[in-house]
Amino acid sequence: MIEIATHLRIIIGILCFTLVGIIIELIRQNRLKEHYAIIWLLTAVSIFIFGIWPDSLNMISRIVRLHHLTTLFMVAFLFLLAIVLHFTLVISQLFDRNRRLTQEVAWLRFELEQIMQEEKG
Amino acid sequence: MSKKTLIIVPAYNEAGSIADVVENIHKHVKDADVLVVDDGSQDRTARKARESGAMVISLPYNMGIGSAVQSGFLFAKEKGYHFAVQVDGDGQHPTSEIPRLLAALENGVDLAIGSRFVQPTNYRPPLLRAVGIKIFSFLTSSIVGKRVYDTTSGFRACGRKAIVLLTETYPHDYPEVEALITLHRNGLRFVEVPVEMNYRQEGKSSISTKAGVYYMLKVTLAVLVAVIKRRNGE
Repeated sequence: MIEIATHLRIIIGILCFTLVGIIIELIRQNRLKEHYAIIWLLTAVSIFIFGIWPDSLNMISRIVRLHHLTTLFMVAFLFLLAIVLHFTLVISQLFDRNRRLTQEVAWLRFELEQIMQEEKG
Repeated sequence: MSKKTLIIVPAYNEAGSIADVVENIHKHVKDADVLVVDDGSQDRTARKARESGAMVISLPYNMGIGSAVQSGFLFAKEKGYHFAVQVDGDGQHPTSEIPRLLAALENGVDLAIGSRFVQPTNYRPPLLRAVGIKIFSFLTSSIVGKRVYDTTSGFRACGRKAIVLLTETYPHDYPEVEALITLHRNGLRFVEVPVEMNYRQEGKSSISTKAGVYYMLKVTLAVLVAVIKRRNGE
């Protein structure tokens, strides 16, 4: 059993609800896309689970045969790694779209100049 | 020549040479349109090109040679050109050889490379570059299944099929080698046409040593990935 003091659980609980609150507010203000909010909501839920049910960490520790603190770091590290990979995917997609958009804009500007010149001349 | 031909000239800060290049193209290729893609130049490249009678597309920022050339492919595709020839804006590529590249396309291949190494020429690359050129030649040859001598030459002519394909997929930097693999993987054919290039007087390359290392790693990875990439439309 991992013992977590009551006041610590309360702090973790408050932390999670604050995180969820911030995310919902960001979506509401149209500053965060729902698509990307999912990963953050999952983060909040996982922290919450570890907070109220610390033994879940113990179970993972037994499976991977590590100290529970090491397990905690491992879980956090893998999670961050997944987020970074996700971001890289998003950036790659944005890069491709941005490139095509720029090319189309340059081409349309050329066409526009042609039309304007024809009207003048 | 009844088929519509577009000469794509990517240019980044080439105000000094662009007018000569455009004039040379007009001199050697009679009924082709010339499109200069100004890749976010800070100098008067666009203006000089326009004055020399070329169409000019100005990219709002420097996107890299691959994206610049691809802008040309996009233009060629949308405007219904049959052939597109890529000629660098620095005057290195011999415009007098363009008709020979086009003749290769007329014979039914999808892409013709103006190649420096098929026949012995006066070109002697520096050691590191020579090694890189050999490696890419070896890699490409093994993948394609026939000997390809000059995989890095940017002096190329594309037929309609290649134009459409490369509009969809073309790397933004150092695109030459990877594009050949992409063509091969999509069942398009290319040939090499021996040409003699004009080399820069000062010998200053656009690729520094540091960039050269990146070039090697990036292109090698890109080539290996291109082999396992899904074909277009799959």
